[in-house]
Amino acid sequence: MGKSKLNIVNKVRVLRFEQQEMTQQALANKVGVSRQTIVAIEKNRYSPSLDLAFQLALAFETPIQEVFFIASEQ
Amino acid sequence: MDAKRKNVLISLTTALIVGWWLYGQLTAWPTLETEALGRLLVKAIGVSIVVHIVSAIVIAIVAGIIWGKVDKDVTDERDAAIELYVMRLILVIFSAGMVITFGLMGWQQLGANAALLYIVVAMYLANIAGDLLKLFWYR
Repeated sequence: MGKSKLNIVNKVRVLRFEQQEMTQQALANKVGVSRQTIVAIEKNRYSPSLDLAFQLALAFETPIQEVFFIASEQ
Repeated sequence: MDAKRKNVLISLTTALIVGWWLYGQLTAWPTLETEALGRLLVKAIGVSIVVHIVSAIVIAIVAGIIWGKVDKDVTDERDAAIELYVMRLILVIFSAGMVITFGLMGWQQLGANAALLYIVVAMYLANIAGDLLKLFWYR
């Protein structure tokens, strides 16, 4: 059985706008990272650690699977 | 402009100015003597510290005028990952430079002084490559 790479995407941008249009900087401050890291996560250019992923979910007060999910398998 | 890109810009500017200065010093010499080379390398460290301070001040002023407020420098897990990639690239380039230098010493009769200089140049090029990789990640 071959190891397939998961295509993990996120809804951070959508969730930010659902939270009274929270700015990237405000979210960054809330989870303790730089604004550039939030930008990279939103553009799916960076996969955060499990710790940061849970912190983002906590910041949006939503389960982690509502923030990060598998789009398709490659 | 964010603080990370500003820091990379300062580092790149310093490397280019010091490289240009070092090249000017070296081309003025007909031969490489050990004492003179040692003095030059010590001077180069001093020059790079001064150039780094001056370019940090100048770039901070210019960035302030052009982009206004610079984002606060927060170091997080992504920075640690980027730093790791950069360190690996620097190590690979520097190691390749050392191997090439040793090869030149062994098979092309490269002198010890020139070899020392080649290793310093390899370190310098590795740092520039590292800065460029950082710019790519922080684009």
